[in-house]
Amino acid sequence: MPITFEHVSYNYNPADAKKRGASIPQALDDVSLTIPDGQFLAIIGHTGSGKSTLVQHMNGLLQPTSGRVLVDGLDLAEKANRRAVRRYVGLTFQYPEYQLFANTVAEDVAFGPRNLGVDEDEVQRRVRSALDHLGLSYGEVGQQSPFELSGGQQRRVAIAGALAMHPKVLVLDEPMAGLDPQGRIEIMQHVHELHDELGLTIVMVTHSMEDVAENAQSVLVLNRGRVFMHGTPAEVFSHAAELHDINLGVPRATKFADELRGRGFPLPPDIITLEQLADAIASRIGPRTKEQYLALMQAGEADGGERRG
Amino acid sequence: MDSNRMLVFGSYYATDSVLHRMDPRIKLTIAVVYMITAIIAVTLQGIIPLAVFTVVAVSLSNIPWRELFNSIKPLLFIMALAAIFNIVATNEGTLYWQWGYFAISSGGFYNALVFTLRIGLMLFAASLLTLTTSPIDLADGLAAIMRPLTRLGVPVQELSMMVSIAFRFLPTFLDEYYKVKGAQESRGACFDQGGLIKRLKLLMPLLAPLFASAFRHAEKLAQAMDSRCYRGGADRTRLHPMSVGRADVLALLFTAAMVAGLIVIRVFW
Ligand SMILES: Nc1ncnc2c1ncn2[C@@H]1O[C@H](COP(=O)(O)OP(=O)(O)OP(=O)(O)O)[C@@H](O)[C@H]1O
Ligand SMILES: [Mg+2]
Repeated sequence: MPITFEHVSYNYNPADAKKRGASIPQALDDVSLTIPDGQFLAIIGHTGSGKSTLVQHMNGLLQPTSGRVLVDGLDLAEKANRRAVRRYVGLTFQYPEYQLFANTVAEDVAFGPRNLGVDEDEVQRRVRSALDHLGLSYGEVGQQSPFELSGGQQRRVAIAGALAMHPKVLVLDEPMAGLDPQGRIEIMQHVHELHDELGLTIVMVTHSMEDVAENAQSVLVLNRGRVFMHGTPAEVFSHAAELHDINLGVPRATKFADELRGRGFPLPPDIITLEQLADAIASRIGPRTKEQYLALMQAGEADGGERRG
Repeated sequence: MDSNRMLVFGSYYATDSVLHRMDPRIKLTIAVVYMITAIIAVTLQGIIPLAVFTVVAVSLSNIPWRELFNSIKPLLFIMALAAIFNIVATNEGTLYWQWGYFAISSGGFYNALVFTLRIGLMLFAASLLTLTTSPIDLADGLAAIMRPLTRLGVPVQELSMMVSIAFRFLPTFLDEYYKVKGAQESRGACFDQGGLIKRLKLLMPLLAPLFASAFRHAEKLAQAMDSRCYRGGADRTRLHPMSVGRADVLALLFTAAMVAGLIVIRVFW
């Protein structure tokens, strides 16, 4: 199920654009990209840069004003194709918990597979396994009202609702927005597992550069509806200055590594995760006793690069 | 907003013009006077002052004629029906054809023409009012005009607050409606096919989240108003007080001229 965008532009109000000329940027402006099978793609960009607009093209909820979107070679301009594709491309909106509606969690998760006409036994199996994949127990929450759950749990129920369709691609628009740190970590972990264990293609919109660095294989940076950068996290985060210009940061590990380099502490390039940073520093300094450190500091040789271990 | 969503709010056309800046109370008053004038003007000559007034108002409004025509398009059908009714139900002047009560006569065509023009002009005027006045201004203007009813125990302030809030949240709900619809469509729901039962079943996934969100908004709004010490009824002042300016006075004079013109025409022509 590769997803391909060919010169996609989108305007929320085409008449308006004509009236006011090109002064207002389009929500999407000539976006081309391919998402291969099994990839973990992160989409980042300042607020209003078009991330949500972009992902809604992936299952045909929005259709390009110009250009084409192909999923598995099927052009989503055709209604029949859109319908066929929704089965394989699961999508959750920003704050997906606001779309829960059923009396019980199990009923809500079952909505998708029932729409697909799956038989009831299979529906129940899917509900259980989808909840399970998001760390929710069917026995505990299955018969509860979704409105009684905590925000983080509701969020996971909503994602389970998409997962129960058994998609090949899961598109998540800011799945961690507005959650507490523990809730964020849990959801991120489950998403990561869906990618690793089920082999799903994941497209995730996020504002957390740490999540990008630690999970994504590829990053798409949007700015004012245009593709600003597209590459591996290491490539993208090596352009800190450009990112800064469009109000985006780099992971804390990258920033810290830069600070150290600025103080003359040599480190290899492309440090984006905490783990890489710790490894790099440890291998620079090597194991030393406290006395050795103190001696080094006194000698004013904070640069440990010259005398390793 | 999507182009197909715009239709719902096609009523207000955001731009800047003398008409947009006028006091909503004055605009409402003029609209009422205009309607009465249009009812009184039953001859072709009588329509002249109305037409002049309308053309001047529209040209001052910065609103393209096409937009104005679009806004009354849904009502053209009714106008056509009324015209046909006028044609067949009148029997005056030269008679061309008759069948029972139905007659086609020169008088019928005349009546149809005058009637259609009057209705058309009235629709233009009503449309111009909503196109140049935001719903909130309209509600406030209406409340200001109805203010005297407070003495009769009508809670005008509260009603106007409610209407303003409703207007304020319409776009929000519309936005949420599209989001919920998209989310359920992503889960394989098809809202545009299937029989009645199937469609009714799909109302729940659409409406339940919308109601939930309405309650959420209501609660938050109530808290926000409470924490700002909102008190209904207590003689509230406005952030942007409505004031009658030069343009308003000129507009009133122009309206008076239109009415005077009609009277002169009806008496002497
Ligand atoms: N329903 C809509 N109607 C009109 N314009 C819209 C609509 N939704 C979004 N836009 C506009 O399109 C542009 C892109 O919006 P989009 O929601 O895709 O941004 P985003 O990158 O997802 O932002 P955020 O990080 O805040 O979620 C913005 O300028 C926004 O104002
Ligand atoms: Mg968004």
